[in-house]
Amino acid sequence: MTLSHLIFREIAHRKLNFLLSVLAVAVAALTIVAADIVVRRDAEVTRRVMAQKQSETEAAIEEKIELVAAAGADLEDAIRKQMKGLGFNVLILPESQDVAELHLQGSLTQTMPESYAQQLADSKIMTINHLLPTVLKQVRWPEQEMDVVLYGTRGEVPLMHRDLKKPVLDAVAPGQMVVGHAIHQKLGLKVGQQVEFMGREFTVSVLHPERGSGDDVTVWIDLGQAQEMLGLQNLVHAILALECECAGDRIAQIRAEISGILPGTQVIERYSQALARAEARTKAKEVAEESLAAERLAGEATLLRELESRTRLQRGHQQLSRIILPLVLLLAAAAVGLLAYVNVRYRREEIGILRALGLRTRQVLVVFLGKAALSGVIGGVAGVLLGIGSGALIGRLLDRSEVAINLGLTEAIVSSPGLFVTLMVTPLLAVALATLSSWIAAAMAASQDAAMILQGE
Amino acid sequence: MWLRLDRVSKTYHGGENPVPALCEVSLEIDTGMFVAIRGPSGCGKTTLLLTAGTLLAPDSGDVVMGGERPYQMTGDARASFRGLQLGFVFQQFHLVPYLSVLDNVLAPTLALAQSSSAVDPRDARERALGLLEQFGLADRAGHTPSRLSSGERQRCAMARALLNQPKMLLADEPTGNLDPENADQVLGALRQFVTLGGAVLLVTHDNRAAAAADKTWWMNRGVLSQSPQPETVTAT
Repeated sequence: MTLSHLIFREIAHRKLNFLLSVLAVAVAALTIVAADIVVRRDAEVTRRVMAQKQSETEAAIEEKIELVAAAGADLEDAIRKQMKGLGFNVLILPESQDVAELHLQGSLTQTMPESYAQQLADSKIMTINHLLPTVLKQVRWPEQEMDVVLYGTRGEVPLMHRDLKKPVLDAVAPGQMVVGHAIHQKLGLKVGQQVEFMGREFTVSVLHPERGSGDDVTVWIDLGQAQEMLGLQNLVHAILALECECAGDRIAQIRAEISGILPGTQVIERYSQALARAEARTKAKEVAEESLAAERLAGEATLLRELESRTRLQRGHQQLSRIILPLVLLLAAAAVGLLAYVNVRYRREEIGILRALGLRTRQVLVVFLGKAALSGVIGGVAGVLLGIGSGALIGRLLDRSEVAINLGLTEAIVSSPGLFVTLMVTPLLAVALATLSSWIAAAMAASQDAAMILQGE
Repeated sequence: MWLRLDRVSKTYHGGENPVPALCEVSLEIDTGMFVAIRGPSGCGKTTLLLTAGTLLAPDSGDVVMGGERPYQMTGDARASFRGLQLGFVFQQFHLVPYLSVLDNVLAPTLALAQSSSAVDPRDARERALGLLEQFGLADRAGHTPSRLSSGERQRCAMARALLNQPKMLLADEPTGNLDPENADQVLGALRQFVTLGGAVLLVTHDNRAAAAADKTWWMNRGVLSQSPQPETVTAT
């Protein structure tokens, strides 16, 4: 005869009491597991939904990149065709200037009054759109011990008889310097850097990309400062006339028109249209990149909205489980405790005789707590098994998204090691719940006075 | 003397007025003695039996059993002592309802766990079957108490009381619910236990049961005497 035999026989005798106790524990274990599965399924579904959305967004951006690349190629072709129809640039030089010097050395020596530019602007010349008086001279950069072409420019002179147009070239502000590619590469210059040039301080404002022309060895500064540094106050080497509106075979007409206004000058064609085309392509590329960046931002915003939506759903389920779980545990504990108390009341006579037969206090405790622990084991295991199914079912009912519906139970468990721990620990918690809830009743049984019970007859 | 009660007193304080159940009771019982305590209901007989059975500590006085003072032991030690040295038989049998007859008889072996015993738990089953045979219950071994007659239940209780080979049996109105034939069987078993060297303390108001004892004491209002006194109910 053992205590376990006594426990099992009593359980077999009072099945309903034990089954109700098992049921209460099972409900508690079921709730723990189901709540955990729902919450962890949410997390896994969120992870999968986000991965799917991320993948879709990236695919959309890839598609967009291909579209933009194709559109860019079309745009470049269109620009090339359009540029054929555009006008060209001319350079107005003093008549005495040897053009060979410009082509061979990239600089000029002969000057003419700066007022020529204004004179031309004030005329009613129709073939020229933009006028830029400049000084252009090869000089030594003594501080860096290198030769550069100094380009002084003040921006364009407005044509008085035309509507104001957007300038095609920007002026360089006094004290600032625009640097050609070969120079800034050699000197390692950065935008915003202070440099000393021919005894004056300048701030690097723009670094040009490589153009494959004399521009790469040129520095641009304000015209007035350049004139002072070269001792050419109110004098310029040339006036650049841009976007001349005439076909290439009508250059003679431009020359005639300018000579009529500015006698003692000569006009030569300046700058290839290839530069303009390259700039247009660069601009097109920038527009495409901006479009892609906007696409990425829109994709990220979509992902963020999805994540917020999923997070709200998760929080809602977590809050629900935080309310339901303690309530169910409390009710289960109360039910188990009450059933244990009823059991003790029923067994008063039995307790009395067992004490009379010599059972110790600890043995009486074992009789009642052992039964409670057994209900905990059975209820815990049953609750876990039922909780797995319930959790999966409830998870699908609460979250009707396609990913949630298709998420298998095994996948949910495998993807969340924490859930595995819950499944392992819950039966132990169930045993603890049943045992602790029955503790008071068991203690009452163990402390019962056998004499009082036996006298009761 | 195996059992010695020396000026033992017990008063119940549950109601409005204290009820004296034992008033300086002194009693000695040795092995091989069959002692009956007679008296009216509520005179304190059961209180005396429970006190002698180490289940109810007296307010004062000394209780010595087999040279030990059980009421100076810890609760668990006293329980073990009780399980090994004493056997109980009650009027209401107090069988465990969900255990079979055999398991009921084996129930006292629960007290033998973690203690030295006169009955080896491994041999307890054989001994229990022998007791069932002795009390004519061999064919009832697998039945639950609800399927037994009153006489069979009391014989089962007797077998249970004897399983651990106690030194003393404490019997509280063991024939109260039995017909004469079964009562004779139970009293015969008690007598046989004494013959084999045990001691019996029987409390009863049944003349016939008391007649089976070697010596009869009388109890009234918690006072023990060797001759009958006017009956007055004073305690439960």
